[in-house]
Amino acid sequence: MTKVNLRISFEMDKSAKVKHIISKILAYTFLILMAALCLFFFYILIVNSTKDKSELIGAYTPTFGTSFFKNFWNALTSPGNSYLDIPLGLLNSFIVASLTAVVTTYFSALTAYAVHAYDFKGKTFVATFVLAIMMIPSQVTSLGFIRIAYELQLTNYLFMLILPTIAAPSVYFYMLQYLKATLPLDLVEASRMDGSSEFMTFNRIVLPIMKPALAVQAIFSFVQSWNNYYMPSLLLKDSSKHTLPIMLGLLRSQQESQADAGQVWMVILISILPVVLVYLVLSKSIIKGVTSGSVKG
Amino acid sequence: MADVKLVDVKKVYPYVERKAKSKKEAQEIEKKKTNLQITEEGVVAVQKFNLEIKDGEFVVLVGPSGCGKSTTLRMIAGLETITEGELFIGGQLVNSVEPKDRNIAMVFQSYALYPHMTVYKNMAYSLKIRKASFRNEKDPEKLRLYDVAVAALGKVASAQSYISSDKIEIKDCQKIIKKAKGNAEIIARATSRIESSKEDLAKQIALLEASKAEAKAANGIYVEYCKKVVLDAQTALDNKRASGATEEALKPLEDALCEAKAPAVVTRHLTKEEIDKKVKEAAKILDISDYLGRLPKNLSGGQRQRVAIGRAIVRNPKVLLMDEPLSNLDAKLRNQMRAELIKLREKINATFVYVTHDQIEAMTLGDRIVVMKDGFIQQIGTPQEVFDHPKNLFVSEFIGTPQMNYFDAKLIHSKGKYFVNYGTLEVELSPDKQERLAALKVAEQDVTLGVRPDHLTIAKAPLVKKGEAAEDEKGCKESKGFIVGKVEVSELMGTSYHLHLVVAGRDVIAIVPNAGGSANYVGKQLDFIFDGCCAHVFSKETGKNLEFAD
Repeated sequence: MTKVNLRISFEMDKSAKVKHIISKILAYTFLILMAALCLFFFYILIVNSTKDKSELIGAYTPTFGTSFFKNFWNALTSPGNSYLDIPLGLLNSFIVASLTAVVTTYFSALTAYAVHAYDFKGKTFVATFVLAIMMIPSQVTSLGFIRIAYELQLTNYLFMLILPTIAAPSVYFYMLQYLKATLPLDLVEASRMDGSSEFMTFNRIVLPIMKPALAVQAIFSFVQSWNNYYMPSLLLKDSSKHTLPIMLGLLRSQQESQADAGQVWMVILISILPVVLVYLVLSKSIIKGVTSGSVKG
Repeated sequence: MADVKLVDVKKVYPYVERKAKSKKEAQEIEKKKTNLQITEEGVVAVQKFNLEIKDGEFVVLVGPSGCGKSTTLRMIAGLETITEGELFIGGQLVNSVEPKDRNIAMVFQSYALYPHMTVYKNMAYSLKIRKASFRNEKDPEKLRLYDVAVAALGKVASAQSYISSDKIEIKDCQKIIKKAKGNAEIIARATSRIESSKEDLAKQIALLEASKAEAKAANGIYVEYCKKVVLDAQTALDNKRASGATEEALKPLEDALCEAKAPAVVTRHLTKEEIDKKVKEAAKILDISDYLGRLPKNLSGGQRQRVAIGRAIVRNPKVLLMDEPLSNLDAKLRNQMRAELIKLREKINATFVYVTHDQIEAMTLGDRIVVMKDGFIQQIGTPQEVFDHPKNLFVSEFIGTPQMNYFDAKLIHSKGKYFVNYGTLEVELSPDKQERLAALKVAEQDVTLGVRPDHLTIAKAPLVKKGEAAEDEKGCKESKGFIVGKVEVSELMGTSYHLHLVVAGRDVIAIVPNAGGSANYVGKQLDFIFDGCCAHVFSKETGKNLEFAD
């Protein structure tokens, strides 16, 4: 009796194993395909950046060219385009994007903390009002902002790109949700009892706990600001203030005969590098369970 | 160390009326409303709280959940505002002092450790951000004058805080009047409060002026003295120099000048070495020296609790507040930590205020227990007092496990003596109870008789027969009868049995010693008697112990 049972269970085991293997193969194939699809564009980008102008115009082959360093040099010096200074654009973009990331995350966290930790009159109104702002597309509000900028003659300043990003309702909302989930108010009270002022509590206790959320939002706002073409194109007239997306736009809008496609591809390649770098640096801070062990119950 | 004094403290939370969406919800809200004490001001959480905690005393606030004990603690901590009344710490009115400036520490129920800091940093945090004052003991006269000046300034601050609280009170009352919608009673009450506040305000303003002048004078004397000391040292040095003394001979005088210039009290941040020393000391007391480098998430519950206590004691606070610190631990660890808390008390100098709902913790830890219910203090006393002489039914029920048994009995006053009569059983009360009852001239009446399970003893039948007068030659138990109960459940607790009985329809618990062997009580009819010193008589109407006047 037992022997028969064992055999049956063994056979069942076998078929279950086969099923398991097949489903794994299917899953991995799908995942590999999707990954390849994502990486394909990067591959094309890298390949294209190694090709000469003529190679890019003619019949296309997805193989590496030989003009990588020439393109690189052209990208940095932009010969024939005196109004283009790619390294300066890189610097401008980096200043704007990194400061944007810092002020957006810091002030959003500060706002969210206020709404989360304090009881004040009109708190619910403030919270809903900020959410309501989220419904208005940024293009609508930007019109008013640009008018103000022109009236005050504050165009051509990089900080005018950074200033409005302090108010970021969606980031605030994310921070609020994160705080609700991770910050017990006991911690704030403990810090108060320990003798710290409210700001010190925020900077020394709350911010470190919010690190994962800060990292996520910093990445998002950095990338968003880095890729932003709309606002800089409206505000920045002086070529020395241009950010990378504007320079890229100018480069692309040249006449077909003049344009050096290899150079354009190289600039695109350069422009995505800082984003990758920032992601690699900040993703280390996205650690799970930072608050575990602080409070119980 | 400091004493804590609460005078007529009251806490009212604003009551926000929710609109009921359905009939069921409306009923629920109605139910909640009857549980809460809602006045025109809001929900009353604590009221008429008067308590004086002596320097170095261990006071336990105990009561069922929602009785206002945690609110009281948080008011002492400064985490909740005080609606009415005054709170003094170390003689200073601190109603409007920020928690960080009260120099008190608190241990939270949830530990509330900073998750991103190691144990060491958790404990060092408060030392790092705080400034400590160091007294310069070399010149006692300067120090004395400094203290006088500071005390005068304290008077000014106290007057100012009275004034601001009076102003708030007046504003609040005006709001109440506006909202009262012509309710004459409410308006009258609020107006009388405004009157008294205004009176006090005038008094305090006068006091403020006087104390300001006093502070100015005291400060002047202190400054004058400092100048004089420096001048004296300087002239001594100059004279010596003029007389052509060598550099070496001048040295002590130069040192004296430096000392004279030093202020009486220096306030500065602690140095790293000082912090290190303090943290290690506290860690040693709590036996957590080995975990200083770990993060809270890598600690067990008991260790975290120790760290939380360590964080509180590391800066030698005047008052140490504990909000149910042991309730998150398992039973065994709780017993262990309780013993450690008792030991800890001997090692550190602080006034303890401890909140718990566990009456065992209250009994074992406290010098005095404050039993609370519905925001009112029910009884304040030593554990012994509260256990032996509960002031009312609630206290008698809440303190002691298993809880007290109650019988419907009669208080009889004959021949100048008080007896309790239950059925055929008649017990003469002990002399001290007789005295207290006689002093209050308590009349004969129906009472609720309370006897603790430990005090019910099995009558060694047939010591006296049912209904017969007690003429036992030993005379130790003057009973004329018994409480007769049928044992339903018998629990062996080790050294004793807990017998669950049914006596005249009431559930009663009796504790009898385990004499060894296999005693089978279940289903048996047993006769019980109790001693006159252990019978508590409570009024049927008010539930108050008849021995006490108020």
